[in-house]
Amino acid sequence: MPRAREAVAEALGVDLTPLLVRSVVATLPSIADQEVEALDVVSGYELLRYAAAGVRIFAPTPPAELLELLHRRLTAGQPFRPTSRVLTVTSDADVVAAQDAAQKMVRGLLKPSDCIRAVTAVSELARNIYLYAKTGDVRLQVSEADLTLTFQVIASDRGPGIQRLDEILSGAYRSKTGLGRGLAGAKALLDTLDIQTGPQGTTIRGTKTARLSDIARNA
Amino acid sequence: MNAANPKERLERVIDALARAACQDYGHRVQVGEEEDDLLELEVGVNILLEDLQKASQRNAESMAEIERKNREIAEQAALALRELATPIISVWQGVLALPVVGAVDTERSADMVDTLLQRVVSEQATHVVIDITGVSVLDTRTADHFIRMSKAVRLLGADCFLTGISPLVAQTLAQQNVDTSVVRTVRRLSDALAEVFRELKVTVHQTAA
Amino acid sequence: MSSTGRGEGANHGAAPLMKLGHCLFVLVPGSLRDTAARDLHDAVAARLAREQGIRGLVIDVSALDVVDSYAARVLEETAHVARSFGARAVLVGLHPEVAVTLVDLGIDLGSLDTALNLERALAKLKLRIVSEDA
Repeated sequence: MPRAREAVAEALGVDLTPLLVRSVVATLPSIADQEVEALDVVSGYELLRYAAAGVRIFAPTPPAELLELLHRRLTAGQPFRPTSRVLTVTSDADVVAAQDAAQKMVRGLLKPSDCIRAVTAVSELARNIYLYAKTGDVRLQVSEADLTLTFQVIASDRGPGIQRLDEILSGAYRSKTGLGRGLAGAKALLDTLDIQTGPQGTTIRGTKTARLSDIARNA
Repeated sequence: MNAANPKERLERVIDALARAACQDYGHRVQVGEEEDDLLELEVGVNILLEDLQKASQRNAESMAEIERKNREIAEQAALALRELATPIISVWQGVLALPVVGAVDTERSADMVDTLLQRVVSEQATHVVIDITGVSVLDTRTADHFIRMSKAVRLLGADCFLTGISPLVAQTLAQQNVDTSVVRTVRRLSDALAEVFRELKVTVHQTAA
Repeated sequence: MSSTGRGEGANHGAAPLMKLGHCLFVLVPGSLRDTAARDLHDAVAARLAREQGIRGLVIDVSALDVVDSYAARVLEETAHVARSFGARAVLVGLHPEVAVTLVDLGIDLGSLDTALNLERALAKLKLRIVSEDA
C-alpha cells in the first residue's frame, strides 16, 4: 500500500528536481505517513496545503497544475472521502462544543476569515436550537467535488418552527430578547442557506465553499 | 520493386505533395531505379519533404515552449496583480493608506479587508485612509464593501477615512439610501492625511531652500 | 450552578477581574458559555458596586476566536453596566477575523469603544498607570 509521502514525491518529480522533491517531502506533516487510501477530504487537503506551501518555499514559481496533479495522484481522479460529525445540542455547553468541532474541521480548508465566519454561523444555528427548540442536532460535514471543497452545517430540531421567516431573514425582526439576528447573521456569513420550517420542526442547511486553487494561493 | 511508368511516378510525386499540403510530411516518394529527370524530381521532393518535416517538428517544439512561457508569465502576472491588489502604504508611523485601483468584486474586497486588518494589527495603526478614486465601477454594492471595510477598521480601534468619492457618486449613493454617515468621507486623500496629521499633532513646515 | 453572590469576596465566574488604580481589567475566557457570560456581567457589576471611583473598564477579548451575536450582546451589556456606574468601557484585543465577522453580522458594538492595545485603551479612558520612577 503506497504511503501518501511516496505518492506526493512521485507527483512532484514530474516537474521538480529530485533535490527539490526531497526538500518538499521533508516538510510534510505526519499525515503523509498514512496510506493513500486512508486519506479523507480533511487530511487530504491538509496534505495538499502543506505540499503547496513547501513547493512555494523551494521553487520560485510553482507550476499551476501541480496541486491538481497531486490531487489526482492521491485520489486517482475521484473526490476525497467526505467527513462528517453529528452533535446533539441541548445546552449552552453544546453550543461551545459545536463551535470547537466546526473550528477543528475547517481549519486550513477555508481561509482564516472564512473559518471564523463558518464557525460563527454554526454557533448562531446551534444556539437557536437550544434557545427555541430546546433540543436538536447539528451535523457538520466536509466534502469535495470538482476540486471545490464544501463545508456544510445542517441544524435540525423538532421545535415549533420559525415564525415570520421573511422578516427575520431581512434583518428587520428582533425578538423581545434581541436574539432575532442569529438566523440573519448566519445567512450573512455563509455562502448558501436553506431553511425548511414548520410546526413539526426545522431543518437549516448552510454551506461555505473554497476552491483548491484558492487553498494553494493561501497556503 | 517493379519499375513504374512515368505517369505512375508523377502521380506518386503529386500524391506526396498533396499530403504535404495537408501537413503530412511523413510520406516519402518511392524513388525510381534509373537515373533520369524524374529521379531528380523524386529525390528533390523527398529532400523537400524531409526539410518540411524537420521544420514542422521544430515549430511544434517552439510552440510548446512559447505556451509554457506564456503560462509562466501569466502566473507571475497573477501573483504580481494579487500583491498589487491590496497595495497598503505606511505613510507615517501608525498611518496606513490604501489606494484602490481597478475592479473590485466581492472576492477581492474580502481579500482586501483581511490584508488591511492584518496590517492594522501588525503596525498598530491609529489611522487608515482608503482611497477609492481609482475604482473602476462604483455601484452601491461596491460602495457597501468599502463602507464595511471602514467599519471593520474602526471596530479594531483605528480611525478610518474613505476618500475619493466624487460629488456625483456621493449623490447617487445618497439616492440609493447607502448610509455613508458611519464613515468619515473626505473628498481628497491629501485632505484626509492633513486631518490625520492634525489629530496626531504633527505639523509640516517648509524650510527656506 | 449558583450565580456570583453580590458583595462576596471571591469571583466564582471564569473571568478574572483585576483592579489597577481607577481601572478595572477583565479577561474574557476563550469559550464564552452562557453561564460564564452571566458570571462576567455579574462580577463586573458587583465589583463596580463595591469599589468607589472606578472610571474605566478594559475588556480583553484576545482569547475570543469567535464572537457570535450572543457574545456581542454580552459585551454590550457589560459595557452598559459599567456606564451605569459611571465608568467607560473599552474593548481590547479583538481578532481581525472576528471584526470582519461582526461587520458581516451587522453588529455595531454601540457605544463600546475599542482599542488595538492596552496603552491606547488607557489613553482613550484618559487614565494613566504611572510608574514610581517617573
